[in-house]
Amino acid sequence: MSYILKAKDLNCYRSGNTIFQGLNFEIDSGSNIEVIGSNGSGKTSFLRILLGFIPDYEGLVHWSGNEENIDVRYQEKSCFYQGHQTGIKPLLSVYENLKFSSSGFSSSRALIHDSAIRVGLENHLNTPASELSAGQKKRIAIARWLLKDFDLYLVDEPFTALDDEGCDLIKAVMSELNKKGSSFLITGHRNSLLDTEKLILDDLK
Amino acid sequence: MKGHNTFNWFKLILTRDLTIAFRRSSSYLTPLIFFLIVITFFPLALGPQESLISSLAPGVIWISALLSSLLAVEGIFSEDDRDGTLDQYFLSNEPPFLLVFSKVLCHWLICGAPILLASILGSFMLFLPNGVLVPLLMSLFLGTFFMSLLGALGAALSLGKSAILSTIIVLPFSIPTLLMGTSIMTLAINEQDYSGYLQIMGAMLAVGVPGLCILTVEAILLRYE
Repeated sequence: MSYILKAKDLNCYRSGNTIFQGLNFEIDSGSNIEVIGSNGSGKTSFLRILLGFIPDYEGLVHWSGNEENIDVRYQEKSCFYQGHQTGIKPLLSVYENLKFSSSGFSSSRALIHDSAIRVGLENHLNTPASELSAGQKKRIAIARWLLKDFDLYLVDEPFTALDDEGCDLIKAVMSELNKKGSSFLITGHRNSLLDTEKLILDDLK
Repeated sequence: MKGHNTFNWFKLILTRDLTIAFRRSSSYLTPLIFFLIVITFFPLALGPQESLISSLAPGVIWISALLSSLLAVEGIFSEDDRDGTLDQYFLSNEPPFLLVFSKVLCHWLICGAPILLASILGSFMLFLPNGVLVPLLMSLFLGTFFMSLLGALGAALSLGKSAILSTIIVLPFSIPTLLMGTSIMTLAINEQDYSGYLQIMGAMLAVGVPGLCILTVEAILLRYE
């Protein structure tokens, strides 16, 4: 199968310390990889290196469809990134948050409604996000995944603040998007409920 | 089709930022009220001498307009930076130049435009002679827009650093605008031709829109170095 993204012999340094080294990985379309590591093991740094946001690394990062030796920053990528800060604006309603999210800029009203129903926020479409709970805000973030099809979703710790039902929702949404050929690269502290390939960063010190 | 989408994108970020700004009333009221307070306090402090006040009026209006348009500057990018929205913009394959321009336009609309309206009131309070209002508004329009551009650059350079830094970066570069703005007013009060200065300010803006927006994009990208 063709890969979407691969990294070879990736070493990450932050302020002089080695965070991880010798990381090799490849992610195929329609498959998921979970990156597991303790606090400070470089999960977020890893995602941001792949996106070209951090220059402190050695090794090769290659997004499929680009020439191999181009700097990551200039490689074209079809990806959605959700960091710890999800970019949900407290002053905007659920509907507006979806409409104005960078993935939803061309979404129709019907699509936004459908994705709100999918995450169980259909009764809160006009509620400002500031009045919602942390878990419900996470659900807005999940609804954004459905607005546009990307090749790869990089999601930093999606399970925090979610109830069991929310975790099931993530799993369902992920397998739905997997069927369309999208892949997920998600991070977590501990072995999660997901049955995916694991990448353990603590082993790469 | 691509062009249409990009324009649509620009329109949506602008709408989004304006919606947020209007829901947080302090964003547009603070500069406006600051401007009005300074304008009102000057005649109170100087006493009721009409000639003295009207001779100081150009400087007073311009200084308070520049300072109040710097009030909201550091918020231009900091919120989007803190909550991760900026990361998502830079991955969206849309031109970052347009993002910066929409931010500048939004800042001018919530900060510069109300000051423009308030300066009409200010011109009566400071006894500016009739006929000076038009050059005042024209020069303030060009000047405040240029300040918004400079402010965006300062805000981008000080991302993640102290908020006062953006103001310190921007202030020295506002001197030409201040000098030309007050000169236009003085010339207009003396009924002399002020169009030359107005043209220079227009030229500064014409160069500033592309030039400063590109510099601002580069300054934001420094955040990712």
